[in-house]
This record gives sequence, C-alpha cells and structure tokens, in this order.
Amino acid sequence: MKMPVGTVPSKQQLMQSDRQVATVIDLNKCMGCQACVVACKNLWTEREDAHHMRWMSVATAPGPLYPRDFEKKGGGYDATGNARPGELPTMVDSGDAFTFNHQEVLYEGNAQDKKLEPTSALGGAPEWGYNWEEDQGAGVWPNPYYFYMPRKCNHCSHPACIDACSRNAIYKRKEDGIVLIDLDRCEGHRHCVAACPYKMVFFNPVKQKSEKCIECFPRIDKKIASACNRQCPGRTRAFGFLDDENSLVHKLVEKYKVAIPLHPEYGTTPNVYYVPPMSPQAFDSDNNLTDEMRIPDSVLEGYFGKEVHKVMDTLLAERQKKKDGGSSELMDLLISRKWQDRYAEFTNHPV
Amino acid sequence: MKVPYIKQSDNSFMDPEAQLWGSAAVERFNLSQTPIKMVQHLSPFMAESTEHGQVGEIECRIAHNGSRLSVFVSWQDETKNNEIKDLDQFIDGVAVMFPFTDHANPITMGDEQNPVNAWMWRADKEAPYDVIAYGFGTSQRRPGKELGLSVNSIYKNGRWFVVFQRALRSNLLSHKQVGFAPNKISGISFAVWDGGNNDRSAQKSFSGQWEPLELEA
Repeated sequence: MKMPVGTVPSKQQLMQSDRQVATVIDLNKCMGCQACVVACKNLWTEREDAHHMRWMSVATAPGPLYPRDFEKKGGGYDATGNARPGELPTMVDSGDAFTFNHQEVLYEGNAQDKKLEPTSALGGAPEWGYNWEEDQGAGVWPNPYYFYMPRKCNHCSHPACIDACSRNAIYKRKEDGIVLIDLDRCEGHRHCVAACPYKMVFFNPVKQKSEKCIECFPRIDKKIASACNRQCPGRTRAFGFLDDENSLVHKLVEKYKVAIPLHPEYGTTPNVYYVPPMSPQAFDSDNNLTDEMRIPDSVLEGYFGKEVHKVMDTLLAERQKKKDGGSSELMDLLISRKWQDRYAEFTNHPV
Repeated sequence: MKVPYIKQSDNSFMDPEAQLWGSAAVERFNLSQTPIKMVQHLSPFMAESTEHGQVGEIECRIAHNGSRLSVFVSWQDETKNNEIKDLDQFIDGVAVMFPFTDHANPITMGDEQNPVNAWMWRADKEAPYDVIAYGFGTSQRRPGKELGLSVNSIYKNGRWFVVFQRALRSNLLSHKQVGFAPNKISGISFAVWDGGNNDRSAQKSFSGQWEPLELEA
C-alpha cells in the first residue's frame, strides 16, 4: 500500500494487498519471437536513459539469461528467511545499449566499404549484449536442447525489493498486488536492485532512480491486459487474479497445479508462473529412443524446484489422454483457442 | 569547537584554498562505520553490509562573519567518484548535521520530537541538499540553493575539500532550518560517503556524536 511522504510505514503495510494478479507463461509454446519484449519497450523504456532496461526479456535457457548471470548475483532469502546480500548488475550485464554508425555507413557514401558496427554504451566494442546466446542452449549430439525463458518482474507476495528499500519507496498496490516504486521517495541507492534475486529492478543512471515493470497498471485499471501478455502471438500467456476461479491463471496455478514459479527457493513467493517445457525423447548412444526427455530432469529442477517433477507427470498423463483419443480439460486450456479465455476480466482493447 | 569571527566578505570563504582559512583552527574528528544493524527494520539487506564506512577521519574548520556561517571540511579519498559511468557505481559525498534540540540523537538522525537539519553535498551535483530528518528513514532532501545554502568543492592530492555556507539566521523559518548565534552553544556531526566503496544511504562513515559548536562574538 502506498504511504504518504513523511510517514514511516512498516514493511508489512507496504507489502499488504487485498488481491494478487498473476501471469502464466507456457514455455512449451514460447518461440522466442521477442514480441512481448518489443511491446514493453515501446510502451515504457524507449527512452534515452532507459535503453539498457528490458523490463520484459526473453533469453535462451540454459544460459546466463538476463540480466547476465542473475542467478549468481545473490539477493532474496536463504532457507531460514534471512536476507541474502546481492550484487548489482553492470551496464553490460543489463544487456548494454548499443549505438550504431548509421550516419557513417548510410548517409556519407560509405556503404561499399564500411559496415554497421555496434558500440557499447560504455564505449568500444561490445563485450556482451541482450540475447547474446540466442538458441545456443546445452546438451551434446544427439541430444542438444534449449528453451526460451521469458522474464519480467514477479510482483512477488514477499518482495525483497520492498524489504530492502531504506527509503520505504516500494509498495504493493492494495487492489492487485502490483509492485511499484514511488519515485518521489526513491533516491537511487539501489538496495532494491541488489536484493531482488531475479534482478528485475533496473537503475536509471541519468535520473538516479530505480525503475521496474509496472505490470502496465494504467492498462490494468482499464481492464486491458498488460502489453507483454496481450501481445504474445504464441498464445503462451494467461493473466488475471489468482483468486478468480474462472481465470485461466487460477486454473493452471491452483486447480491443475501445472504452472510454477522460477526459483521458488529465492523465498520471495513470485507471481509469474511457468508451465515447464516438455521435450522430445532423448536418444541413446546407438541412436535409439529412450524414456528420458531431451531436457534433463535435473535442469528443470534447477529452474523450478522439485515441484517440477509432479508437473511433468501431470502434463504427460494429460497429453497421453489426448493421444489415446480421449479428452483433457487441461490440454484444451493449454491450447487456449480464444484469446479472451486467457485474460479473465482484462479483455478490453487498448485504444 | 570555537568558531572565530573573521571579518571577510561572504564570497571569500567559499574558496577552500583561501588564506583566511589559515586563521581558523583545524579540528580533526574520528569517523567510524555506521552501526548498520540498527536499521535492520528499514532494510535487512542493507543491514548485512560489513564493508561500508572506511573513511576514518575528517578535518573541519568553521568561521562566521557576523552574517553567514562557513563550514570547511576535508577528508582523504584516493578515488574521485563524481560520476556514475556504470550502473554499479556510487558518488562521493559529505554531510554536516545540526540538532534542533538538546535531545536530538545524532546516531538516529533525531526523532519525531527532536529533529535534525543537515547540509549535504554530492560530488556529482553543483547544488547541495538541505536535509531535514525526524529519525531513521525519515530524511527528506530539499534543494539547498532555494533554502539559501551554498557549497563549493575541489578534489586535490587524493583529498576532497568542501565548503558549505549559509546565513546564521535562516529567513525561511517555515522550512525548519537551524539557526546560529554568537555565544550560543550548538552542535555539529559529520558523515562521509566514499562512492568507490559503494557507500550510499546509511552505508557511510560518521562521527556519531555532537561536537560542541561555540560562535565567538
């Protein structure tokens, strides 16, 4: 809940919300097209001081993901609930913000002998960038594999960013649990950036304030789904109130329990849920199909915790029903033929 | 600490290298890490910090010319951090703090009944901040220039030299600013942020007590 400047609210007050919106992303259908990323960028971070920020990102897993190596940068809570100190991502970790020599190549008659070259926001040739390891993945022949990992702020139920902010500038909206930064209170100390284990808070070095995904709350207020969710051409997304029993998010998270959070061990109770990726059967050394899946169980467990095994069992069993000519409500929900079915009450059109 | 009356123009105090500063006695104060565990409730993450506040000493000279008070501080800092070039960088800074009442605690930055007023300089900003605080987590930065506060700084030979100046009596009483008067005892406390050491917010070095301040007539 937002508190007036000059008051010293408790963390409990700031974290309190009556309801919670959630996003579900089906990783079996994400094709890495980046439409969600572009939708978000065009709306919120297409600014000179925010080019390095991707409030919405899609990276190839396994890999360093985005921001680079966020899983190694600490933050969140340990198993006993104590704060785990975190590190700050750099400009390069944040995907950099390249500029190109368009003028030189395209407008000064050099098109035959010069080529377009990116320059890092820090100067010089890029060292790393957004989507740097696209489609590399892991595994060796004959069992290479990868999948896409779309990420945005998890609007956690126990957000480390709120806990970390010494200015009490971050709060959850009472009506829907969206986590927002009050820029009047923020002084850019970046305790939130370090504390978020998902590294989904970004520092604006020009304004010297921290910024993050706002779940398109001006759209939410008009019952329009957030842009990343609505823009997805792959039908991967569901959005709505977690306690709305008619919503697809409720059915996938609470009823069928096939959508689970990324790195639940970070202890922040995230509200972005993933349907984990199934994969083809793996080959053995003689090129015979085995009962193992191409994406090793250990890899899925590393991302989604032990719960993922139960989810895979459910998904495979329900899929088998369909294969056997039967019916499966869950498979039909995951196919999601009509877009209106995915966004619960948030089906108004953006004007 | 005695604050001498030096009959010079307001502007002449603003130069840290001005000769007149030779006639004000130098006092050196020990600085230490802020006891950051005390703000566990404000940020359990910040409270885990162990490396902050490595600046051990601050030098101070203070003088007045009958109308304005000038506070000249200097401290050693091998790295000049006056620009955020990358997202993990922080800025050097200093603040001097004054109590409104005899009961204000310099460690907590006052409390609801006993506020404090501070003058804060950051190496990346031309204008200082005038800060008011009523205890941990309540500090509010106000534009110092609008509140009659001036600052000047130079970085030389691995040291920062910063001069603050403000009228002895603020004409902006509604803004809650401390006042000073000859023969009246007040207090001053210090804080330093070393950007190169990731110091920011409560992660800083501080003197942690009021040094008595006595303006000579």
